[in-house]
Amino acid sequence: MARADVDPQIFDRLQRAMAADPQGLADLYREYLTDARRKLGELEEALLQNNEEQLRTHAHYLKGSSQITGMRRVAEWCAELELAGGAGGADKTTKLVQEVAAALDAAQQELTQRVGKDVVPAGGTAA
Amino acid sequence: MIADDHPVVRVGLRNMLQADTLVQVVGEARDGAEALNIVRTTTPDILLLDLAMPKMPGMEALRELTTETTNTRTIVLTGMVDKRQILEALQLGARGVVLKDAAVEHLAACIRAVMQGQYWLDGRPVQNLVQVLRDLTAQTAPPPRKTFGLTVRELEVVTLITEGCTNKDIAKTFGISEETVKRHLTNIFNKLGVGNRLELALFALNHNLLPSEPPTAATT
Repeated sequence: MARADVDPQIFDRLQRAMAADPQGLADLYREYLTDARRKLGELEEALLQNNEEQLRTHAHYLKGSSQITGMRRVAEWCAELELAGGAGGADKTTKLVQEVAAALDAAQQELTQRVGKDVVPAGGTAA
Repeated sequence: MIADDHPVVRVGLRNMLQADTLVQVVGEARDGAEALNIVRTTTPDILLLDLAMPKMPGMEALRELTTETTNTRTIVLTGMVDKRQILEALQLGARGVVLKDAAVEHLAACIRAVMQGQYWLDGRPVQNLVQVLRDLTAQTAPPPRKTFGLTVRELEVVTLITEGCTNKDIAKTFGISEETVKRHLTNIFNKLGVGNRLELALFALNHNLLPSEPPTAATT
């Protein structure tokens, strides 16, 4: 069975913690997705500029918020990207950034199912 | 108190922690410098400190805190297991280390353990900190240098050869005769299976025979 894009344990824990404020949960995940989309843009920019340091920095940053919010697959690809930096060549790095983007789309779809359409950032729909 | 440059991380942690009736979040900081200011003014029981932050990284803030008298106990939040970093954080007085992807599961238990005077590592309370520090030190120490049967003096001679020193220079450095230097070189060539100084220098470079510190005449 394929693993969920969202870590159910972390999600359930956050949902329980914010049970009194369901809108707060939607706001938290919308903020995560908005920030993650912006960070993905910065990753793509760093890739174009072949800037390994920026690639690592952005991947590390996105990994942190993904881990805390339970965006398991995004965090895993970011960890791999952070570790690789630009090592392995442009093809590998491009593929890793694409994997982050795909994981983010999948996470957004799953979050929409779990929390509702409120999590979708303005102008940002899952691919 | 929570110190992390990422707003989503701070909001997520705050909400999670505040669900625990024993925990109250008294402050949030975006970088190490802000964290230090808030610790100084509010003296929280616990500082949750991210290591990778702009302006002043968490490790630097932790180092600064060790110079101050404070009752605040620090728990380090990190995105990956870096044993060197964990060792350094513990040596600087951190009381616990929690991985971010395990924070939701372990943080409350970690805070309780640290408040009871325990240390927390690898998702559980530490029973024997001295042993943990010993193990981490052993795991993070550089591998021992291979010496290929060379004596300490012969290794020192090899180092000077790679720096381009003549036999006369080496003799002067160590206060020995040139004849003794030649004897050392013959022994070194035989042990390493090299035929001349250039081969010796290449062997030394390729086999990591050179120390990080250059030899001095005081070494015996």
